[in-house]
Amino acid sequence: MLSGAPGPAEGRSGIKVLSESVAAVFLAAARDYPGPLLRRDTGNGFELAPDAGSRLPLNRCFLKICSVRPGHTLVFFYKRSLLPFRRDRFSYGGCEWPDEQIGADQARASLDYLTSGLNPSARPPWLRRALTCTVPD
Amino acid sequence: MPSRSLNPCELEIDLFCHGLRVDGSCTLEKDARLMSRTRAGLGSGLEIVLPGPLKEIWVNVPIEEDFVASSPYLLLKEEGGYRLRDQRGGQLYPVRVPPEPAWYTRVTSSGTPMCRVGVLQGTYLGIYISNSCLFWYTQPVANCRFCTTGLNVGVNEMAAKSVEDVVEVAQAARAESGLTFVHLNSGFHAGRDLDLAAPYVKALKERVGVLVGVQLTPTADLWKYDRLIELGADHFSFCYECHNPEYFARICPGKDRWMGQQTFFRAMEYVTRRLPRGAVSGEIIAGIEPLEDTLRAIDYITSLGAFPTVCIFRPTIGADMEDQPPPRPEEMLRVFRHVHDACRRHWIPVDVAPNIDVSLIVQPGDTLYLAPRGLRPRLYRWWLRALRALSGPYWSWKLRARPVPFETALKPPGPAPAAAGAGPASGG
Repeated sequence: MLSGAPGPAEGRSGIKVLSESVAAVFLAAARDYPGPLLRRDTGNGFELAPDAGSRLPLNRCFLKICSVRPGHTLVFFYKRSLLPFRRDRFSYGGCEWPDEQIGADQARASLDYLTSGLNPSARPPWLRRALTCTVPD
Repeated sequence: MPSRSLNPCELEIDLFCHGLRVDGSCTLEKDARLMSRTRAGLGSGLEIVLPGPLKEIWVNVPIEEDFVASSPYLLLKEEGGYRLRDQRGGQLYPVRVPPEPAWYTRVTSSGTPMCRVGVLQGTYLGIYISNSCLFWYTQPVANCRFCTTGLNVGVNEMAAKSVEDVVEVAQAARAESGLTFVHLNSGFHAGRDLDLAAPYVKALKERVGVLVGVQLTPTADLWKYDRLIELGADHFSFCYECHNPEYFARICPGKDRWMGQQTFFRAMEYVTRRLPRGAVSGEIIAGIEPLEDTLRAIDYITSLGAFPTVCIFRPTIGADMEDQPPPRPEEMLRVFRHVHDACRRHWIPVDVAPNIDVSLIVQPGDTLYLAPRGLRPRLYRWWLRALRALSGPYWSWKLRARPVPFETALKPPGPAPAAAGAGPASGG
């Protein structure tokens, strides 16, 4: 169940640099997901987060889907700071794939991990905790 | 529960163990330094300064970790100043929140944000020089279980730092923040660790004029330490984390598999013989292994003429040990009383170099506040004061930029590499 940021989502302003097919896979998984999710567009993709109100730690957890180089998509998990002004992202790792290798299974596993509160026991097997690329803001 | 006000070092220890909650009255976004989780993750908290009669103490207080939610300490802003309130007994402690240096928001000539090259951790500049730590990229993953290095690089830090960027940031920090010490560290680089550091050491000595510390995984090629000392390295620290070999193997599987605890000991023993007393440190974490092992580590390190860098275990966000509780303040007090006692017994000079305040740990110099009454502790304090007063010209000489007439490519001396020159390790 996906909500939030309807303007940018429909306007697709942030998805320009992200593969249309990858965006579609994740958005479809988010729409069909049983738990409520929020979406926010960024300059190079979009982010999904549990719609958890003030519930810690769920309301700190984010999944970023973005393009880091042509033909490749980065899925990146992080927690936001407790301080609203702080710019740090507390990384929990991610994975970079060629666009054509991303399917519904990865999208669903990503959402399961996200909505677990980034619980170590729910880590997807493909998760790389140390990334080799710079994660864009 | 404290029934009296704590002295600055006791308060520092309590803050490391409990963390700090931030009241809505605070305006840290305007008043505080950028908080950035870099390197192993210890510096992810809020930098504050605790005033005191013997010295002021810099502390990087945990504010993001889950255990902080139950902290008795609340940071308040009242009448324009900051205070800590201990909600157990109502004690109020005035604190200073150091402002962000102007250079944090500037970029280097290559366009890199300066705060992504290095940050102040207390009054020194901490720089993670190269691309993460190979322990994070092995299969199975062999990272130290308390560490978040692999999670930070590329996210909060640049993956690789150029020598030019590092020099520019150090020059800005020297000019605007009174910097005297740059600390270079890095993860595991399969034996090339010291080689990677060499160009940074030389450039900092030639173009900035600062004291340079190096904290890298140790090597059995002990001659490489001689080469780095020739290039100007003033300090080496050896992070072996746990003194108990079983804990070392379990908590630091990569260090155990690729170098072993004895390599740390041999390197530390070798370098303490090459540098002045108090120029080398052994770094351990208190709160993971049994307390008696931590005390043994402190005795071993100080017996070499090195000083103990004791980190209070912080279960940082995202680390494998994120769910472990932080240690109990009572136990940590015992550890740091022992630090003071061991440094005094071995006449380790601490807090002698100018303007080096480390916010991530309880420095040995901070433990002067924990000293018992008596002639010997007083003598030690007088001795340190005299050293500080007499060594001023020496530090001025050390803090000048000067040509370094050596190559940065580390080459072994002559036909017989000096690895055999190390004596047997005492092991600990």
